[in-house]
Amino acid sequence: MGFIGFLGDAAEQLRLHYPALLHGYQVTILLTAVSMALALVLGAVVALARTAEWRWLRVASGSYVELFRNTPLLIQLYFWFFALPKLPPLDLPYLGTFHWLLSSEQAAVLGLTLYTGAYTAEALRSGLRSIDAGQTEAARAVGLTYMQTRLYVVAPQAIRIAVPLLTSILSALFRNSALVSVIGVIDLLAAADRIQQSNFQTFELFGVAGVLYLSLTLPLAWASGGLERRVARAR
Amino acid sequence: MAVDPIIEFRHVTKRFGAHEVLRDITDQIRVGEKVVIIGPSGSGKSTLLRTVNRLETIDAGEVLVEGISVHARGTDVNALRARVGMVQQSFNLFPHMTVLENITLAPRKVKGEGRDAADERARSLLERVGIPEKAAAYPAQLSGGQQQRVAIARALAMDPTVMLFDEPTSALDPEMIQEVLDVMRDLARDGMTMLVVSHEMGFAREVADRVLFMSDGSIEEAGTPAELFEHPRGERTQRFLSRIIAH
Amino acid sequence: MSDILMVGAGWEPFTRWAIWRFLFDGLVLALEMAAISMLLSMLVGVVMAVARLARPRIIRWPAMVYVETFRAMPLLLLIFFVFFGSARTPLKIGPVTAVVIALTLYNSAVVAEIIRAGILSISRGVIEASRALGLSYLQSMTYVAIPIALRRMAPGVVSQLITLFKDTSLASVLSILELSRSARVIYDTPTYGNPVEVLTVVAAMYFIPSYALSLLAQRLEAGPERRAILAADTATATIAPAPASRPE
Repeated sequence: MGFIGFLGDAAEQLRLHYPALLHGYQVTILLTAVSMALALVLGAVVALARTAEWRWLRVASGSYVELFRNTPLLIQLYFWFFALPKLPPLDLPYLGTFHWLLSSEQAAVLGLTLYTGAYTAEALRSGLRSIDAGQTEAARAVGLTYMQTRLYVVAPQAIRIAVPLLTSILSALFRNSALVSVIGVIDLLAAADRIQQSNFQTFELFGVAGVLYLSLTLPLAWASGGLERRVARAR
Repeated sequence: MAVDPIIEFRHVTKRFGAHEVLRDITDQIRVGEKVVIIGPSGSGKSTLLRTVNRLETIDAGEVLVEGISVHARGTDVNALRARVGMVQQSFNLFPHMTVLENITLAPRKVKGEGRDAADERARSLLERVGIPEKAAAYPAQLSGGQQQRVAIARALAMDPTVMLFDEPTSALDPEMIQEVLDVMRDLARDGMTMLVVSHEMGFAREVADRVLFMSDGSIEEAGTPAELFEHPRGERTQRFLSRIIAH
Repeated sequence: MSDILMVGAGWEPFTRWAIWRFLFDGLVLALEMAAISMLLSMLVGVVMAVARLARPRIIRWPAMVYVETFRAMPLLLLIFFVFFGSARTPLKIGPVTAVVIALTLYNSAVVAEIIRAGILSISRGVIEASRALGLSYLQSMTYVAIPIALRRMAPGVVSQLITLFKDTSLASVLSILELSRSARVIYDTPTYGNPVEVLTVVAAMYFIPSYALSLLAQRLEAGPERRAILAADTATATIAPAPASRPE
């Protein structure tokens, strides 16, 4: 059949099943985008907590980072989806009873966010740490307050340094998001898998899915490399 | 057994493409002589120095060290390099080794010296360059001046018959230049043959037997420091010196 | 307190040796898959790194395509591709082999980049200095270039080993009884029904080796000689460019 024949078959699968595949593609993008946005906020808070003056805040944030980076995402997803509902419901005044039952999508976003947040926190912290103390001193010397210094002087520089790392974290998130199929989210990989289970066009469908993933991750890999060189030059 | 002259350049020519970096260089360096090469950047002085231990190839002519043709096919380049010490501008200490290991690597691996003998010798060399307490340190823990002194000790550990210095103080902070020059002065006093590329005019005046002024790949002018610095003949030499001394 | 909070069998199964034995077997399988995949990834990674640094395009480009493609693919997709794909060909690959192949495809691409960076980090000046002392090419590679490169790579390789170990959990999708699958088998058993407890225990079983490795990576990252290697890098960048010809 040869390579050309294979490409033809793959194109045929894409033509036949593009609504399902495209929907999965959108789910993958949406999940990744939402989780990344939340993970950035979480990461920023955790990075600040890790450099805070209160000891318990440093310990708590450090524990979060180590715990979530050193256990598999799969186990974390299982936990949010299978274990959380086993916790007893929470009785909240006025708001009523709160059940710990999450939909597949909610558990997916929660899992991806908490997992990725540990990595964004470390990226931002390494950015913060690389800012010379002289910068803070110079800012304080011209009369900026502590918060102003962090906001206008330290944070922008730290983020610029962290951008290449954050880009590769985003790329990893795209790849990691494929795991949500194990808790029942129909993302790109799950969509391709469902179709191939019925028609056995395994190579063709996973090939199409692979190319669609590459369309998301490859530009990020290149951007990350380019940004890294730019940051290195600027410093 | 000393071969005199110890280094001889015979019509040495080198090109990078159409550009001639070295043009028909001829000169002799006698045993124990201290020669300082000065000249504007890009004049070929570092390249000339690097032909002596064959870090640079040449396109015509011949370089002889102790009568042996450096670039000849049959020459054992590693044996030659073992006798020609070199100190580079950027120290280039081995970052993964301690100071002591940096100094003893070549004696042990090239000359096959035992560890104890090599260590002992390294310690006495560290004494000589003034930092005996740094034997166990890693290069990153040293200042630039200290690193360069280790580099000198590392070269001396091979008992070279001639030492090449390629701008040994240009990468150093001003306050560290003297400590390196002091070590070099000591070395000169002990009778080492030295070929030095440097911008340190005070050092040249004090230590050099001869100064070579290079420009555009040629030796424009040569003479004792007094001759060259007080009464430069060539117009280029005058211009160069007035710029350097004005600094 | 946990008796009140948790439903299902709670912690009770963990008083039995058989349950621990079952989980430990899973952990051992996970560690085995990680170790074999890492070894294979190092082998393939060295080949790919050297190929990417080679001059001829015919060698460089295929290596680049391999590295860039596999490092940008979801691992789960690679596992599906190898396992379900091989089922459609005459050579049917068992699930464990399929996972090891998929893990190797992904990790060899990552390791290749770590090795390439290590090789590129060796500054020319340091090699030249060793040659100027009279060391032969082979000696200067053995005592200077390769040790520097290896030290440079070590933290990256150890960090990747952590990722690889965690990623063995994906093998559970092929019903391989590694640690994650074993966990699920236990808490899916109707009489147990205790995912909170089981997943907590299993998380700890992943955490301990991973965290130990991350401490090792940190140690490798620190240390005076390590800082020196990083410093040597920046030094070469700021110092005047070396002449164009190569030392012999």
